[in-house]
Amino acid sequence: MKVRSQVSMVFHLDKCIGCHTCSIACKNIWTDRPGAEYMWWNNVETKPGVGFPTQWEDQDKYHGGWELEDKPKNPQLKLKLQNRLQTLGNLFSNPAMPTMDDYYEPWTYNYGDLFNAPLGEDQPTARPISRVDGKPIEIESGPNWDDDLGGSNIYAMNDPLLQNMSEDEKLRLFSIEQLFYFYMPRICNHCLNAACVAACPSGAIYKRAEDGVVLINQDKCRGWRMCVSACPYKKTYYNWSTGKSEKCILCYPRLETGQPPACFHSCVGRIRYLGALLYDADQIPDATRVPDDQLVQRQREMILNPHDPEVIAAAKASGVPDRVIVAAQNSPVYRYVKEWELALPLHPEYRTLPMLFYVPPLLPVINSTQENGTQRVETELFTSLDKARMPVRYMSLTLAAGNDEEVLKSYRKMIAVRIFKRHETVGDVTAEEAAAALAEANMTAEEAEAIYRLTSIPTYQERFVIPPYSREGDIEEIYDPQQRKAEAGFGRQQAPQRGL
Amino acid sequence: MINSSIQINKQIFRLALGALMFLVVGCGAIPKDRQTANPASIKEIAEGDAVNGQKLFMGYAHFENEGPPCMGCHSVGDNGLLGGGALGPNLTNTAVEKTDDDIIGLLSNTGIVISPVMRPIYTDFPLTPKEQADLLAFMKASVGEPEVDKEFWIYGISFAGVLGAALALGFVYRNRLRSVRRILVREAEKELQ
Amino acid sequence: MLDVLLFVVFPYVALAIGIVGTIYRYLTNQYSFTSLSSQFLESDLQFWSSTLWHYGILPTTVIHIAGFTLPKVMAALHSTPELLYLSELAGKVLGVMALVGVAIMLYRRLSNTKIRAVTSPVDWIILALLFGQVFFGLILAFAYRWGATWFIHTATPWMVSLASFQPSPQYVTALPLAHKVHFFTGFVLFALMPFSRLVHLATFPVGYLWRRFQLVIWTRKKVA
Repeated sequence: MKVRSQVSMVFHLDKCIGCHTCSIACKNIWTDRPGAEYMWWNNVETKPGVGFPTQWEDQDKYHGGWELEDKPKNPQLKLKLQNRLQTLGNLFSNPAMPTMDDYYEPWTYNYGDLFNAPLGEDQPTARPISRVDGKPIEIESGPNWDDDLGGSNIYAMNDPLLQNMSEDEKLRLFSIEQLFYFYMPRICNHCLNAACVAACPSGAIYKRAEDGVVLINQDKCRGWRMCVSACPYKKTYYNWSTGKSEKCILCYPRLETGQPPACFHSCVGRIRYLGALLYDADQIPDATRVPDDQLVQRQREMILNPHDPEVIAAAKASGVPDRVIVAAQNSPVYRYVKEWELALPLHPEYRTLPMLFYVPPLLPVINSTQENGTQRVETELFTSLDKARMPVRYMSLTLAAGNDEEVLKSYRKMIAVRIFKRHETVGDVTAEEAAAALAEANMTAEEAEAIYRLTSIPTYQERFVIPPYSREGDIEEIYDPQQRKAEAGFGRQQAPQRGL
Repeated sequence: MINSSIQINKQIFRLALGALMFLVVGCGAIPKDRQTANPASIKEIAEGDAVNGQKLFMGYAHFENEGPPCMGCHSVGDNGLLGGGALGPNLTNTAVEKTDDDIIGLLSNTGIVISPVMRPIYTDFPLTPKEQADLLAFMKASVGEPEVDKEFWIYGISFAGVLGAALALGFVYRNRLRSVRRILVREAEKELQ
Repeated sequence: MLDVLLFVVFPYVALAIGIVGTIYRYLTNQYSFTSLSSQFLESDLQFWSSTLWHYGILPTTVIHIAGFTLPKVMAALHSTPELLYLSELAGKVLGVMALVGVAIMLYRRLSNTKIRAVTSPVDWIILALLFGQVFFGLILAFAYRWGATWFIHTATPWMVSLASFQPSPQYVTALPLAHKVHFFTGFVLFALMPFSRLVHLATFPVGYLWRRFQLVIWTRKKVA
């Protein structure tokens, strides 16, 4: 057993209000630079929708992620993009490279014209100009072009996940009383079996062993752009100005100083949780090679119980510091993912073992079963869950590789918690009904209470349990401070400029 | 940082190794023992074999000292599928334009007329008197032959080859990712109308 | 005198600038080592220009280097006229592919304003030189046949003499002007390598063929 620690995340989708504050916080800190304007390391998508870049979930087009060899005995994992030899042949023109057109062309406005226009009959206007070449452009798309189902007959209808549904089902999904949508914030999943790492010809992308953050070494990146194609979540971006690829760094400078990443910190709906998970790195090869419907369960199995003395001993033997083990014991992510089995990984069928988990939103399920706008819901919720076939199917295609049972399990618990709390606070649900609901979801009153507390009224310290870092100590052991005392301590001495 | 400096040393090592290999292999290519060429005598010229001369000229038979065949740079009459070379002059009628002495002198680097391009080559790889005589006999035999221009075929085949290569690349990469959003929007708008 | 300058002094200077400069740039500014791909901004023409160019020029370059380092092998590859025609035609196809590729590259950079915005002055110089280099190379190949034969008896001994520090420019000084331009531009390009995006050549990632897929890096290697 090789125990490693991973700083992982849970996004509670029921609480997301789609305000994009996280995206803005990230943009202001990291990607407000030439060549990075179009990048959204954190973005919020409306689902159903095509997402960013357009239809990123359609791997027949983008060729991201891994796939299992098509043979019955001992199938191996291979990159959907290309094999090793093909990689060298595809360096010159990457055959699966999305272009700026599939994201959007960043623009600004010619504000100077408002002040400098000569006196005339008409109001001066500020025309949109491209931030690439400075020429006036027609704005055709943007980072949230289909926000809140805007242009849904074009965008939402072409959600790759709806491809398997019939025209009739699609129409019903978008009919007035059936219509549902929810928001899905996305950042880099900091996968355990990252396709971007595997695809990088220069070996510039790596996973930090201490906390599992996946980073691109900007000095080693040669701009071959294979990571952009290989990442099934399209969360590595090519900086067209510096000729390097960039991605979410999970605000590691903030993590190292005990602060949550900017998008977590700024989250208005408080949907985000961050904490350490201990996992068994030896199980990675096996966990990526099970059939689709077992992927979620298998990934959960490789996450270890930090309270188990055996695990603690193994963790210590593997070099996980005590302080990280303590952090893992208090981790809200562990509770959501493993203990309660509420949170599910995004598209586990890409087989990258993503370490960002989503609690599926309950609202579409309830909403889609309402009739005549009346809401006498609580105890009927379980029966309504059966009726909400389409939303559940959509969620399971998103979060469980099509395994409805995983999503239903999560929903049953969430509904039971609601009924249980309604009994306690409102009182129009009887104790028997509440107990029956808990039994249906196979949970205790204590667990329901704990879920309620961490979901609805968690403190800042409960949401973000950041394992203490000791980067200074680690670095001191590499550099003798006495020897280095006269040198500046800020790393790179020159601004990262485009190569000649 | 320590890691990266190790990485750098590795890179320099590889570069140095590459340069060293280049030098070693390169030095090995220098001909070691240089003989001086002897011009063919009158008797040898008289015994020149035009058929063997043609073989030597075309490279079907190889020079004893491993010199390059003449057709790499010269043409005589109609030689071979795609003709002889064009770096040096066409030698079809050279036997009447130049004296035997001049030609033998050229071939052996001993005469008054010297080719500055050929001199260093056939100093390293001298022709034997017999070979000189055979070549001279071949040149004499070829005087007056029609010169055939085959450039059309060379250009034609080359450009056809490029077209073929481009088509092959286009075929291999036929599934490459083209615009997703533009196509999506265009198709959807068409359907809505 | 000019010949000595062009075919003895300049090659050494160019090689020194190219090698030392590239190593220096690698040591001091590894960040700048990138292909600076513009495929993200424009992909359709990029495919044709880049694949034709690279699949043409890389084998051509390898063949040139093999001609310098393995002349015996290369001579054996065209020991009869038929073999010579075959290898010559293959070389010509590669060369024309490269020329078409670089021509499309020039057109693409000139015509697309987005690509122009990411083109530096040295990019223009390099692109023009590459076009000229391939163009003159093709003049040699087509107008001065058959290069496969004369290459290893003119350029090769000259390069070998340079590599063994016994420079013998007489192998090439008598060749036509087109040859001299081709040789000179070749060394100019080599000298410009550290000052341009050409350094991406030095970083061709062969190691990817055998490296392990997942890379995990410890800040500090723990004592087991």
